[in-house]
Amino acid sequence: MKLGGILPALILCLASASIAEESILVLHPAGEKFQETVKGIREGLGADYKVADQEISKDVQVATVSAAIKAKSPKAVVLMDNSSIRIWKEYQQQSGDTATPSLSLMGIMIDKAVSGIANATGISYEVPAVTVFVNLRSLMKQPLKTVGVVQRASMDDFIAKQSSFCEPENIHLKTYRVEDKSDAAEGLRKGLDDLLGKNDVDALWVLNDNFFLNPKLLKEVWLPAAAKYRKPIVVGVESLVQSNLNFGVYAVLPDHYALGSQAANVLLELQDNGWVATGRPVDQPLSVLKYLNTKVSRKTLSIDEEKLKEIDRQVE
Amino acid sequence: MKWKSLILALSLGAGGSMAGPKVYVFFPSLLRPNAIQSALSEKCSGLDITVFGRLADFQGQMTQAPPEAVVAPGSVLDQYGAYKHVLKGALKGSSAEALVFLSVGKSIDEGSIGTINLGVVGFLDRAKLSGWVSSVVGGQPKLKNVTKVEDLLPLLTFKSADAVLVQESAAREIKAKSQTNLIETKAKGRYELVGVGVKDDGAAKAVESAFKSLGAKEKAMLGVDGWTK
Repeated sequence: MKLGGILPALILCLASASIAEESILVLHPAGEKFQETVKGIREGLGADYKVADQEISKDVQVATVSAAIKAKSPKAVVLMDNSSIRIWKEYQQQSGDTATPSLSLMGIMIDKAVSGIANATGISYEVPAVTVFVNLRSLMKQPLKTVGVVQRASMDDFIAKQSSFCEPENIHLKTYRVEDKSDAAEGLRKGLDDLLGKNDVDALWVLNDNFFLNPKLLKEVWLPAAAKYRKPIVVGVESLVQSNLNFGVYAVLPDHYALGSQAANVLLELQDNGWVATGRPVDQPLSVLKYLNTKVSRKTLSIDEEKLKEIDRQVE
Repeated sequence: MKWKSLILALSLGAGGSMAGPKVYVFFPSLLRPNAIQSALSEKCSGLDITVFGRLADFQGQMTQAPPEAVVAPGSVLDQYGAYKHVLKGALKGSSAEALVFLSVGKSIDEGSIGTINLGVVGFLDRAKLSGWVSSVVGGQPKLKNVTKVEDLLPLLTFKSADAVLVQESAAREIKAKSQTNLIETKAKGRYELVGVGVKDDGAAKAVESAFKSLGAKEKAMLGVDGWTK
């Protein structure tokens, strides 16, 4: 090719390289909440990035991930749910690809789940106690200083972290600890009697832990305790603030769109850091949706009516 | 009441809820958009008001189904040249509010602005927000933008940001909510309060008069205590 032919081709090539969008690959299971988070990522990153999202099934194979990486050449991957984290771990072990950083979201205990993955960071999914109770306190006319929580021993680290976040806000977590090998029903019953019976907690925090939170224990232990002690019960699942249950007064859930927006911030931080996630701590989620059961609140809380305008959904 | 007058009364009542000029409101605050929408709609029965809490939703609707009027912070309104400013929000006689840094335990040193992580509500696109922050703080900090005003406090709680930048009134609300030792430092710039922009002259009168007649409570929901031309 003569110079006259090379130059235009070179210019065209450079121009197309400069307008090419960088790509971010998102692996996620099916579901509306995952789509909402993808939307938050996409809108948070804006036009500079193409966000390619790929739905994966529980039995996804490493080959699927390899093919997606090959096709998209992403600058980073976002892993949603523990199933995506697991398959990425396998992909990394098989391929040796540690150059592509990963950001894990919407999984259980993300900090533990990403350990062993190279070039990884994440955002926890569990809503921190301090976020829950600072928001609840701002609604209440009565004081909120001590919150009771029944926990199993294997949650010690999680609870210690929650307590450290609550301390500057003058909120004390009073725990009743049950060994993992103990009978869950008996431990929970004793725990609730201990925390609520002494009348020295201002609210009770129900952890999203299926050791204590399942239909059987809800019927046999939680609901009778709620009826007996009439303390504000704070939950992390929308179904537990429904009126027919007469149980949770306040629920705080992750805001998935905002979680996506937070993830976009982390991705831009990784970009500024040369796409290196190593050593970056797992963040806490910033944004929540707040649900109040007004019927239950009349029995257990004294509410500042003006503050109801800050609630996302009131359940009657 | 005879049935003819009953029909007349019903039709007059229905007139109040008939869709009038379409008005979009975008104003990030601690209040939920639906609470603001319901309060404004009640007072401005001749207007079809939609309140947005997220910038992307607001921008999307502005493109897909442009309204007759927009109510938004001055810096947002300025981006929509087709909308003529008919009212400027005022607070204590000014159309702009002081901005402050909120930080935990110690104040922010002006000289260090360029090196800090600064939390801010994403009320503008990322690039425009960056330019706006630079103009009001006199430096280029690393930005952590959030979608809601209430998410600024968690940024400080979890040490994801060294400080957050907010209007004085929002800082007061955040401080009232928290028992952490939050320190205020005055920022150089000011935040332009919400204004009312109208595209269609035919709708201008109705929109202007409806917003002027808002009560103190509704105006406070928009961060103002009055209007100027």
